[in-house]
Amino acid sequence: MIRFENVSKVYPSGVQALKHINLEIQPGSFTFLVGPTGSGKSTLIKLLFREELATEGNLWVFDKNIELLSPSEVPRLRQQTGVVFQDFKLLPQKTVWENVAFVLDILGIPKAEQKKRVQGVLELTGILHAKDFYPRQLSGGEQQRVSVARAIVNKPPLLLADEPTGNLDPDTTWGIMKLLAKICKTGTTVLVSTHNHSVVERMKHRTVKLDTGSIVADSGQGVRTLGK
Amino acid sequence: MASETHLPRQMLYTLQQSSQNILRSPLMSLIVVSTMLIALSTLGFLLLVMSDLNHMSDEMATQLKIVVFLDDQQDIDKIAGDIEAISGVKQPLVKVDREQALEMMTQDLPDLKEILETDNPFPASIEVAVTSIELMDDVGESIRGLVGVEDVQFNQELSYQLEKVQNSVQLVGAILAAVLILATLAIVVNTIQLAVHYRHTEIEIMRLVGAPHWFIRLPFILEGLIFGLVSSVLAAVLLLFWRVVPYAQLRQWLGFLPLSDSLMPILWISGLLLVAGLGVGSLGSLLAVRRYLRLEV
Repeated sequence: MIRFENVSKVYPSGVQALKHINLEIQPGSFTFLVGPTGSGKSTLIKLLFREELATEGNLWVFDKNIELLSPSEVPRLRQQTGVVFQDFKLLPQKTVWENVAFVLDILGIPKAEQKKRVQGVLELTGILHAKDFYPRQLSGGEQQRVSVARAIVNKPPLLLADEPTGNLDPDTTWGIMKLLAKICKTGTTVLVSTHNHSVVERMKHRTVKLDTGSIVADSGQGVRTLGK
Repeated sequence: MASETHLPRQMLYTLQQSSQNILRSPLMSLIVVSTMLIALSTLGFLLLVMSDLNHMSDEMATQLKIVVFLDDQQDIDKIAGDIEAISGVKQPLVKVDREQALEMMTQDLPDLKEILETDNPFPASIEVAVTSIELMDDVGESIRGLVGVEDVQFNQELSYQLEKVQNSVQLVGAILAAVLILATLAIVVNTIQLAVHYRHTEIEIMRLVGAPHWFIRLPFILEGLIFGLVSSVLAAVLLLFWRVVPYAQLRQWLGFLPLSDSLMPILWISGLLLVAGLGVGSLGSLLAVRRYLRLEV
């Protein structure tokens, strides 16, 4: 599903965010990415949906070297990758339903099919009751549920979550993590960056630890890490 | 499937989005349309003033006559026919035969009537006007080459001066118009950029969920076209109003000046404003959205 081969990233400012990353993530697995602020977690996730390009190495996603994708091929990669952010990135002028259906509108999915899918993901994420609310009328945890619903409504095989619980209280955090685990059980590969150690320890999934751009530990549970 | 695409439905969606976006942010739409309206109206008025100044100098040129004196015994109608065939000659010509010339002269000087009646010294002449001032020299020279023409007189210096004024008006006007078009584009790009920035989260989300570039750009380009259409039509209405109401009054006050009363300039200037409005609106949007899509790697 995902393979990093000696991937490095240096930003134009000269900051080296990732150094010689070698990592493989199997389809259908749940992986935590942990490490302190500035360790390279967000950069690693951004490389996976081509928000950033590696400065060195190869990155394989869905059996394609995404470093070689032309700009016109990038939208197709993103249609197969759901992304959840710490700041939710919801459209304030759209309701919960419209925020989720927006993705399907972009892809031109017929309205009848949209209705079925949106209803399904809102049920799965436990936010159907608020379908007519606007984001400002929801709590942080509810907004993140909407964001997760939007990320999975197109049934992507890969779900990336960059600090999805960074702004949430412990109870809500636990609810969101359980939701991500539930999505993983439907066959979606899930990669979550977090610095919430208690959740990571409690959930017992594979954990890859980054520090100053390098992998310093990998629990490797059920998967293998390529040699450094 | 994650990769499903339905082009017609996507197109329809972008069309709906364009109209919804305009209505959803009325203040922003008003700012863009007002800015474009001011810029396009200024351009329109400049073009109208240029057109009117050209008309005035052309009118003044037609009042500058070339006087053609004929050899005695020449057929005035034949030579008038030859002159009419020259390009740039304005119809009709004013023909003065020898008898008419004598009559005009004796009206002014009745004492000479008896002396001159027996031996008329005045030649027949033809007064020729030109359609455009810059043709005066060429027309004068062509007439001078005709058989039966004794002399050709016209105020060359004045025609040169008028031509110079006309050329200067055209040059200054063209420079001002070019500067205005560039300024309009810059203003419109910046104003639309504000509108685009207002919706940068939407653009960002569209990028992140895999919307193709055309899908992100199209609603903004359509909005730019709508803004361009609305503001150019309003600018044309303003010009028409100016022509029909205040300008008509001005013409009455300045009756001594050969001011144009034609609505034709409004027609072609409106067409030009429409093209400029649509062009600047869509190009402005395209440039403004590009800034956000340039982040794409």
